[in-house]
Amino acid sequence: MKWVLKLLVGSLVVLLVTLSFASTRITFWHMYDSGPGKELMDEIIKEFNETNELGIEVKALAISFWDYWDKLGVAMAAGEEPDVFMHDLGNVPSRAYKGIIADLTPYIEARGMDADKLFFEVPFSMCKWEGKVYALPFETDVRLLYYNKDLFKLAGLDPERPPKTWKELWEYADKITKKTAEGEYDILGFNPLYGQSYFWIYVWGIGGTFLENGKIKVNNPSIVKALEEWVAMLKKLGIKKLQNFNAKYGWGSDAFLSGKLGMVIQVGQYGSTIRTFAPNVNYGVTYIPYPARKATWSNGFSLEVSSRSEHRKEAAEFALYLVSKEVQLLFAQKLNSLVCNKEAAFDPTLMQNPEWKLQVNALQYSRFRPFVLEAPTWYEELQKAVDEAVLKGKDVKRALDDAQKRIEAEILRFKMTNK
Amino acid sequence: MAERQHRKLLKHKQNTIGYLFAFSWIVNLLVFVLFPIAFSAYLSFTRYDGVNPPKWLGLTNYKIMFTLDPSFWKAFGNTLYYMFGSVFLKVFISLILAVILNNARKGMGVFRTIFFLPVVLPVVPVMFLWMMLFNPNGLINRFLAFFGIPGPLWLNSPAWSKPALIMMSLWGVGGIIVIFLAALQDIPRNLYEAAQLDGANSVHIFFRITLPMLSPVILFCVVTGFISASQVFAEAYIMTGGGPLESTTFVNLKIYLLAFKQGDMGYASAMAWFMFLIMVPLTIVVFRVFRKWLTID
Amino acid sequence: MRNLSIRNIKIAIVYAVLVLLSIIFLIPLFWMISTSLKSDEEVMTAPIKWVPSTLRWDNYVKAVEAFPFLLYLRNTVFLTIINTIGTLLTGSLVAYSFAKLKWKGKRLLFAITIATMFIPGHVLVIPTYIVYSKLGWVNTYLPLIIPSWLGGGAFTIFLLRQFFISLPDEIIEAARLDGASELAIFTKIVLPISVPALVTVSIFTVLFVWNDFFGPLIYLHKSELWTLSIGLRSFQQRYTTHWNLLMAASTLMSLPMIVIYFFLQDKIVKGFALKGGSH
Repeated sequence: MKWVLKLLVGSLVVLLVTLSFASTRITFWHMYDSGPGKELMDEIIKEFNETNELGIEVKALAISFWDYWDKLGVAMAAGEEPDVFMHDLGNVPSRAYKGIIADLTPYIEARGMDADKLFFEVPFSMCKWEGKVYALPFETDVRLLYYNKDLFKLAGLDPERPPKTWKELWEYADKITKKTAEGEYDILGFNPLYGQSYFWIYVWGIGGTFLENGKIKVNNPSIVKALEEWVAMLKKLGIKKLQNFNAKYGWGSDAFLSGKLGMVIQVGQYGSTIRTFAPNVNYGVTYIPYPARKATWSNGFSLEVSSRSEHRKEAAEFALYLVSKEVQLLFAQKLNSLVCNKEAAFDPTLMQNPEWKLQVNALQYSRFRPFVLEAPTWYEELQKAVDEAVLKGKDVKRALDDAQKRIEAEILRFKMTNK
Repeated sequence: MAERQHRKLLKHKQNTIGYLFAFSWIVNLLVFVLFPIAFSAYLSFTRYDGVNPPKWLGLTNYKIMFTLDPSFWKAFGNTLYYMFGSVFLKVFISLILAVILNNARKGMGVFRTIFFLPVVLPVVPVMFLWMMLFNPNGLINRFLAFFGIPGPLWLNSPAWSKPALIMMSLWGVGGIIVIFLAALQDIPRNLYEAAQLDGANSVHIFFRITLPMLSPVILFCVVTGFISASQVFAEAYIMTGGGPLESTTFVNLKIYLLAFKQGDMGYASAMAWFMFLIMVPLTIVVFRVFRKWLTID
Repeated sequence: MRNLSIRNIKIAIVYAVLVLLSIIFLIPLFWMISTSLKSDEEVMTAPIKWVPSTLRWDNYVKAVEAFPFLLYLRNTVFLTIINTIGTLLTGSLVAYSFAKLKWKGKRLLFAITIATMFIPGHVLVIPTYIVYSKLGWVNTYLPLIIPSWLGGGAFTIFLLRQFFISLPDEIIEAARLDGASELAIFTKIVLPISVPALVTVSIFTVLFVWNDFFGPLIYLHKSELWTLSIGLRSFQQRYTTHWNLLMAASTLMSLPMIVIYFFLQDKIVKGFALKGGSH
């Protein structure tokens, strides 16, 4: 029996010693669940645990991007969310409105940080709600135009001179396009329905806007005009043929990687995808040319602190560490993620890489889809209208009017249920 | 008197034994099944954002469903289409295959395993394969082209997306076959022998003996098939995202998106309860029709 | 003689149909294995290559190293075994009670049991999670095990009941008259002749637990507790999927199920051979 006693006393001593040096344990959920991303995140957390002066110990859990939202959502419902977590930069205010995330302004002020100066404006503006900062921008992205240099050469185009204007884009595209004997597309110069090309980028590209006096309006004249042009463009290419092309290069095969698409709009990370899956494709990358002005679309991830956490201060401390220059620089260097900390992003060695420079510069033309608290997924109704106009041939104005009605119904539903 | 006393005691004993046997399930039902169900029923009359306490709304969610949300009815129609399209066909094909596979003849074990394969394989790879089969240049359309039939766009066509998903569901017959195989073992062999002595042919035997003897299990397959088809989700979520033009937006997909992506559990619960109220009587009707059919002499 | 040859032709036709169907049913397995052996460059090409030009066996090594494969395998095996035992033990008792015992409220309770299956499961996730959270069971295996040991669920009970219901009442009555206890009747008479049904339920339980993804995902916050189905997700990133590695891991994950099923289905049909001519 003696050894039991010894064991008990021993473990009690160990427990007391650990408690006295004690660390505040905080939990952190993120999406870097595999490969180099996971390695880097693990390393950074280890570093933080060893060096931070507040005795904070971070316990992290990495969950796949595809499952992350369900797991976090369910945990929130039971009040089991982690102290600090990554989330969608596109809808921070909806969580701020629910009151589940903590106001981070005091922690930023306590540090004497000029956050507006430190972070890129576009992603940081998404972190604010009613004048306060509810999230820290961790990572963002931009869409760019990737083009196949070999297909350019084959069409007699200069592979070092990608299109600068929308007109040029279509001129080049027409030269690249090749049809099969049956009249189907074998090689397509450019396809507005493929990859990350979305109608809303085109709307911004012709100078249109979705907001009217701060309210969402998807049937305003600029959008009607944009959709008319969009449909005309697709009709010229042949909608049925485009559909055939898209269906052919759906899941598991990629038209650009297969050398069947001259130019494609893709997210800034696409370069590494090309290098992995199609190292033979000789590609170039440039801004997306649009009729009236440069435009592109961003998304991203934020860091947020649970308002119900007992260790909000420590959690905020860790979140601030993750957006610090040193850490953000590592993410940019090792994973090529478009970090939101400007000091890190403008690092001279990084800026020597033309692909990086392009991404950083594109951020100033980029925007997020406007956030609407009462109808956070309003753009799905817009997409539906676009599909109806394109696939069903529904009248453009009517399709957009109907979408506006659905969005207004959604807003009404929110108001009816949020009294 | 003693007689009655005795019977009462017997009944009491029978009740006790019955409860004891079913005890574990009664606990499970009360704590882990009925409580969450009751909770979701309550939520359907509230606004619940998944964070703050639910706020009572009365019938508002139901009112919205009936008056403000035409896309719900589209989803409901899609779901009915899928249910009636897949369940009966699937049970019918399974039954035939099970009867064929149900003999100890050489090689049948291998066939039984092969037909079960799609049920064993992980969902994502199998769906990925189907995306490739349904590709306009994929195997299915090439096969059709061989007979000079121009194949449709399948999952990319609003008209063909549901039939494509129904075709895909037939691939999962293995799950039902295994139930039928087990049930075929419960049929006493002497019934067959007697029928053979009477000179009945195999078609006769199938309708007179096999079918009626299998009826409890056929009913099981129809009812659970109805339930699972009414809750079709993964195919649409992974393969089509509900499109094109909402042709594969099923009710369960809408419920999922509302509950998990939009954080509107109250409205999602209202939809779920509407489905419940439609599905239960519908299934009872189907059940009755089938039972009558199967036990006809 | 003539009869025999007609029979032979019939058998030949049946086999021909079965072989043809088998080819269709084998395509996914073949394709899964073929993709698992492709190089990165071949995965995304169109038209699809059915046979890779070089077989990249090292994909299997990479797949196993991408996540703690052995640990997740151990967890998955543990959950599968413990849930299958629980379901068989408690589910069969409950189903027998619904099928053959007489007690007050039985019909109502059974109707409720079936009705519970009609509620779309997504709306029950959060309420159920809250129950487990209040019990303090989140982040343990209990939410993934206890239901199996409490009757195993409506589907299992319904399935077993349908099997038990077709057992002849006479054998049970006869045993009762002989003075056998209800438990003895159940274990000594009912269970032995219900092997095919029990095997069927085992197959479904094993498969369900083995592939269950959502349960482990939401209830387990420590990656040391995770299972293979969660590990599989690490090959799908936001913009790219490593299909070859995913398929390699999927193949490894499904092989045990295929083998187990092959032997179990044999047992279902062998049960027939032994039972032939009984009752």
